[in-house]
Amino acid sequence: MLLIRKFEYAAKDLFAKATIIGALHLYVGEEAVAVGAISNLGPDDYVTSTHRGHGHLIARGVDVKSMMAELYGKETGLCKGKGGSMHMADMRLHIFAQPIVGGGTPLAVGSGIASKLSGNGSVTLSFFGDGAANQGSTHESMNLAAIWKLPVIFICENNQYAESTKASYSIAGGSVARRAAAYGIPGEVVDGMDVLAVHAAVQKCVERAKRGDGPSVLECLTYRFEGHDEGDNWDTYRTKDEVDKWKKRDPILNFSQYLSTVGITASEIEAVNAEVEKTVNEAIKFAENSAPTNKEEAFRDVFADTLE
Amino acid sequence: MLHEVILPKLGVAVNEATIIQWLKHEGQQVKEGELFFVVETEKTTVNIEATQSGTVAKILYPEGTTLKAGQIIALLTEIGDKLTDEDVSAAIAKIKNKEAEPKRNETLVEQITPITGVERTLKDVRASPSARRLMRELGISPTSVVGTGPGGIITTKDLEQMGSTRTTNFSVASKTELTGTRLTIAQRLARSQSEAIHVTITMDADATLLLEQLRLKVAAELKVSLTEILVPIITQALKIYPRVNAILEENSVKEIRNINVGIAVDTPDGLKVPVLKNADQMRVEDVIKNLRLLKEKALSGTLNLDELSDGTFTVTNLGMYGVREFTPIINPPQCAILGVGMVEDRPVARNGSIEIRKIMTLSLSFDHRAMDGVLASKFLQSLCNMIADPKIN
Amino acid sequence: MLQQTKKRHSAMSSQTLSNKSTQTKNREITYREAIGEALQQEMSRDKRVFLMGEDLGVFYGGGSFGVTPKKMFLDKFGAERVRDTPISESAYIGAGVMAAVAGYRPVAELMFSDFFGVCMDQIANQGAMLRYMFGGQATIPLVVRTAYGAGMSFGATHSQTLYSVFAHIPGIKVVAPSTPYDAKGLLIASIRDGNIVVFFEHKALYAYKGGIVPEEQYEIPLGKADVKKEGKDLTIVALGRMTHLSLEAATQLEKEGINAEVIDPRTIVPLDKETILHSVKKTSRLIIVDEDYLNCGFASEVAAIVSDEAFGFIDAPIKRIANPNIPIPYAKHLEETVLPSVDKIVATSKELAKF
Repeated sequence: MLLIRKFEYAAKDLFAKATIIGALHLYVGEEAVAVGAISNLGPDDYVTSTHRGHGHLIARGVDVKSMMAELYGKETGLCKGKGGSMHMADMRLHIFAQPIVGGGTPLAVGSGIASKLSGNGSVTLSFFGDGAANQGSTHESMNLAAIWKLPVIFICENNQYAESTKASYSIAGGSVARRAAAYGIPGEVVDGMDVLAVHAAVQKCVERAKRGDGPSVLECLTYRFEGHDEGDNWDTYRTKDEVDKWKKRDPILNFSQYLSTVGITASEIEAVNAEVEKTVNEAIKFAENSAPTNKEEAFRDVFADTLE
Repeated sequence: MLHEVILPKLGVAVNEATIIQWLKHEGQQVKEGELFFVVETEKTTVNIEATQSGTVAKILYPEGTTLKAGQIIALLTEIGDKLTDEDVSAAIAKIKNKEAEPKRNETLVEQITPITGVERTLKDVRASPSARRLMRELGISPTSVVGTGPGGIITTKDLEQMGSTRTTNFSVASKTELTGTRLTIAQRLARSQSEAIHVTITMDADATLLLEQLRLKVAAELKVSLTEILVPIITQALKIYPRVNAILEENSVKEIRNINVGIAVDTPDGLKVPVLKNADQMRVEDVIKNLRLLKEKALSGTLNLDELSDGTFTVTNLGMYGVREFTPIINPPQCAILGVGMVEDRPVARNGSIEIRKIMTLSLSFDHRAMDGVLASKFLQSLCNMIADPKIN
Repeated sequence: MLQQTKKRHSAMSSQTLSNKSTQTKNREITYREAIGEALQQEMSRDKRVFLMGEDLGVFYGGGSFGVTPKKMFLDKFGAERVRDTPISESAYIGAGVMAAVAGYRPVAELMFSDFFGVCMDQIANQGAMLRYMFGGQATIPLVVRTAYGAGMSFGATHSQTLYSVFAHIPGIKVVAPSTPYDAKGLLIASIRDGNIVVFFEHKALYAYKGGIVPEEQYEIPLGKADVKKEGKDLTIVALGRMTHLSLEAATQLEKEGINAEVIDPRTIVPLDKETILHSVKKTSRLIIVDEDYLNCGFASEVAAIVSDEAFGFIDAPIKRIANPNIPIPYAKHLEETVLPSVDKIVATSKELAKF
């Protein structure tokens, strides 16, 4: 979680300096969801993510250096500089992020089918936001996964806002988790600021999926401390009071407090902090020293050569 | 007040002129209408009058300089004006700057000077892209083409039909498409037609003595033909008038040291012109031998590219078909071609009485861009003289 | 290379045989049967191939157009590999994208090309772009089969063509065969291709029988046009059902002394420009016949390419015969008025012959 936090703030700074360009959607505040959920996965499992995807990628173990280089548009970037913040992927770890809202859920159904056909027992975590919960593709995907009993776990990261629109306004019926019942699958609300709670909830779903009982829906209540994207004037649609209230439940703070109760010392935490700091700094250096992607590269990878 | 004196344009296609003589010098006064300077162009020498009165402040180019029309060549001040050196230098500097700028108009003028006049006329003509390309490539002037497409547009098929009669009141007995060699020949002829300024002069040559020699050769079982015996003579004449042994290339007439004579041969595949290289350096027997070899190769279609290239003069003989005189078409980039007519007994006045002599008419076509009538005539005369009085073994 | 192409593709009996050198049983089958055969043979050969779509199993004998008869498919391969889906194009076509990434060879069916709206995101923003955006990390060997075309009075929302919509977006290959022989070879090649291919089947051609279709498997490479008829006066480029109209028009034109060449591109992306350019350089006149709407479509694209790359060889304005920009009407005579026809092709050809 610390790594995610550090990475995101580093990116924020770089973006402010215009070293990183385009659009940046920070995961700050939601770390517990990514970490809690993905920590349940094995190497064959799949993750689909969103425009706010850095957290999931880092939680999955994607190389932070390559991620930073990608943001810098360098040839050593995860996607050779062709994807940027919103389109990052590491197929070796079966994770990718793309920003079409609701675009990831059908794809998750696909990896679910692949899992069933191959019988390798892999599961798919499909992350989507409260906004995507209302997208047609999400409903279709839940329905299809349900009738075919696919090993997919639909995780709604309800950070209360879809850009500037309140979730409480746009979600008819008031709850994403309750919608699962309509598809005959279990749906549960989880405290998204508590990494252990998320971990436990997802673990249950993974076990259910591996048993062959099909998909589940989790609604993790969480909050983003930064704006929708960098440049967002979030004070126009949410109050500082509200933000502060949620900041008091900062998942990193919470977990640090918990750790102290089970014998982890402050200095050990500090050591992790320092290591994380080093990792991020190395990532920045790596990105800075890498060469920009060759212009020829812009024309490649549209089509694959036919494979057998 | 400084006035600019401009080198005038002295003719439609004349772009340059040389200042031969300044009739007024710096410091002198000149009156409007007075003769100011003398200029020479390709065609002629002209005395130029001053277009206004004044004192010659500066002459920018000395006698002997060749310049483009429109260039500023001198500066005049009004009579009574006193100008400092700085003023003059400043004016000169300004002129130099203006000259450094690309003069659009001049480039246009240069473009219009045609190696082919096609470009200029293509602009005003309705023709399809394909037709335009072909007209450019073949050097066909659109003014010679009738467009039959909708709205009178010229299309490829109009070019294909060009030259043939447009009426279809006859039935076609056979059709040979111009492809390959025939097409190339046709294209080259078309190009030559439109580019070169063809003039043909004819002269009668008395071949009586020459034919005597031929009979001897025949007796010697060499069976020499008229064309074959003419080539060494032509070679001699070309040596005397090297200007005729030239090619026209890149707007220049290039006199060539090698005398490479091409002989037109009629083959089943159409007209071919194999070239006898350095004919002047061969003995007569070798000329004849090599000509025969080339002719054989032409007939059997085994000529190589080298044997078909680099000719400097061509001979074509239609005499065996009874043609007396004709207008042969020059083989570009050569500048002249000799057409040989039929040898026949003709009555001629000689030494005060009528005699029957063996006379043939020679038709020399030459490119007026490369040489003028006098030179061509002299060459032809020399040739006829040598035929009349042959000194070959 | 062009010479080779001309020699190989004379009329409709050219073949590229696969490694199986079994005895060729030559027979004529319908367009629909050819497609079915391609699917079945590929599914037998490669366990990774599976089908998804609405009513594939038993409806109308198997598939809304009978392409996947029960006996050949559901009974043979089972429900795991012949998956009837709910009406959730977005979900199952998107699923197809990811299943392909995960190593499978899904063939998803979009029942009518008119329905592209409900799954375009999955095809265009996901399937077409994942490979590029992720720097080459993903391959998406997905085929989306779809039925298109008019002439059956199905009305405005069930008669459209719309291959231009897909051709417009980078990363999508688009195929539209006109004959049973082409359909089988191209579908096999499409399934084996490592990219997302949208395969357009003309619904009015399903019952069409014409030309030998070898029994064994064979591939027709994507991006290779077929000269369906040679000629020297005029080039007609046409796809799908329009190829047949053009051939009929060409027969009529022969009687009037106009020798037309008919080229069937077969693949729209990637387009075989060379064959078309070579032809126009020969004939200097071009008509493109397209059943899609005229505005910003395939016909316009070919016209632009030819005017650019064969400019000095054109004698006449390039003509496009396509559907006008109006929804396709239901009544038969109205539909006929609107669609390209043999008469329209003949009339336009005669106009061009004047140049």
